[in-house]
Amino acid sequence: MTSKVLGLGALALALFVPSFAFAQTSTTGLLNVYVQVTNQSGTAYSPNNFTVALSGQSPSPTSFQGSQSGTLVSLQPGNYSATVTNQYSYSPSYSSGCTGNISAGQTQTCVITMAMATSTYGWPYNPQYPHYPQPQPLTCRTDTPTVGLGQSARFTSVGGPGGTYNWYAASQNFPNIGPVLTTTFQSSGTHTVTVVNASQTATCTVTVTTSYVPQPTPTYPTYPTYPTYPTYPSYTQPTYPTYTSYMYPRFPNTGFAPTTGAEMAFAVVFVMGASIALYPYARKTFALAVR
Amino acid sequence: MHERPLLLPSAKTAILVQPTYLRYEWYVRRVGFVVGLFCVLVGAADLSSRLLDSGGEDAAFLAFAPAAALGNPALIGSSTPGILLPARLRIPSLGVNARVESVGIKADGTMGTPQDFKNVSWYSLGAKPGGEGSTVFAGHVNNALAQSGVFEQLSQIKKGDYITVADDAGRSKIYKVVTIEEYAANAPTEALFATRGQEQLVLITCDGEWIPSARTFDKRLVVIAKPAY
Repeated sequence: MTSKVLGLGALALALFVPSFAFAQTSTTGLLNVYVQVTNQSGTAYSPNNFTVALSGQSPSPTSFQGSQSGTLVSLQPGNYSATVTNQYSYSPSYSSGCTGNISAGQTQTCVITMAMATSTYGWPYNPQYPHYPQPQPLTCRTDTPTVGLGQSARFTSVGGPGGTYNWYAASQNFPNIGPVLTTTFQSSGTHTVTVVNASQTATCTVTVTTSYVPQPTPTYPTYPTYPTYPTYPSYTQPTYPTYTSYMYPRFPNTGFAPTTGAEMAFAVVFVMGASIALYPYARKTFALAVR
Repeated sequence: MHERPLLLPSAKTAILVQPTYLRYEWYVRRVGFVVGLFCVLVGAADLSSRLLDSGGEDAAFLAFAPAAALGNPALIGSSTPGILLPARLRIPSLGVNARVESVGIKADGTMGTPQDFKNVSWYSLGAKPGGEGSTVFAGHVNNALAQSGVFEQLSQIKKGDYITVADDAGRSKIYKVVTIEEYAANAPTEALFATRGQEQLVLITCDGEWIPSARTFDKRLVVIAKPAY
């Protein structure tokens, strides 16, 4: 009986919790706030030295320490703004997602970059050399403006003063992955992706639909054709004569039956007897021949 | 002189009749002369053949050189570089100077033997002097008439003795005896007939006891020599 009650309770929880979650996400918006610090020296501040304050419709939390991995803030629909309250000698720059209007169920990304404040004199000395070529401003391009759920979306960032590209999406950040981001989205709607390069920030948006969207074949910039290396002749193992079928001979038979003394004596006697017996005939034959 | 006429009173002619013992004496003398002549001829032939076969062009040197000189191959020749086809095999310490016959494998699987029992056979399917592996020579220990074969005295060879192999052009290789061993007649021969590895010279002849049923000796005398110069 007890187990039956527990089972029904678990079933009720399984049915109602998603409903509550749906209700929760459907009435508030979410803001992801990332804080990063550039131009850091040995004694420089880190993101958690800065405090971010949220203004808007019932933000939660209203104030928190900055974090490079992001802080999720829930907001009631309406205008909002994120600002750094203690700037020290740094100058904050805010991405477009740090100020605006958020609707229920929407997720925005706010990237706050704290950079050393430039000064003509005083410390820290940060001279500007106008004759240096200025880098192109950071831009973000959405290669796949519309994708389906689970489809890969591709974003490309160009320009920027630094060599590190940190990407931030609503549910995940991709630090230092280069100028191209490929990711998927698990909810439909318009999603914003922010790329940060040094002190510059750029934003891309992608529309995620519930149905599959065929993507045109992307035309990426062609890389220069590098000269082909000469084809060296492949090394061929020299063919040695195979001795697998080589047959080793057995020892030679270099002897004859040894002769005993009796055999030799018999042979001598036989020869002498034969000579004696044949001598007259041989003599007559010789005499006839020479006559 | 010894004959006397046997005359009958009525005979008009006389017949000379030899005594029987004189006829036997006459035969014995002649037979003795023939046998002696035969022995002289055979001995002369044997001596000349031995001198020609064993000494060859070095017969005079071998006959009159000091014994120490036989052990110094520099007096006979020196190794020339390269690979050569053997034509003569010399073992100065044994008085061997034999021609070389190229042979292969007989139908029964044994190495070929020289046609002339005064020659040595070279296994031409194996290594050559100056090259990798074993250069194998074989020689008879005797012949069917109980005459000495070219390697009859091979058992008398000693470690450190020199062996020279020469070709028809006069180039030669000098080897020094390092091993003298007896093998069973049916022992494996892979190591002795190896065509790879260090250069060596292998001399083989029969040894041990005669086995009438197999018509061969039960052992083989194997002399291994390494390049000396």
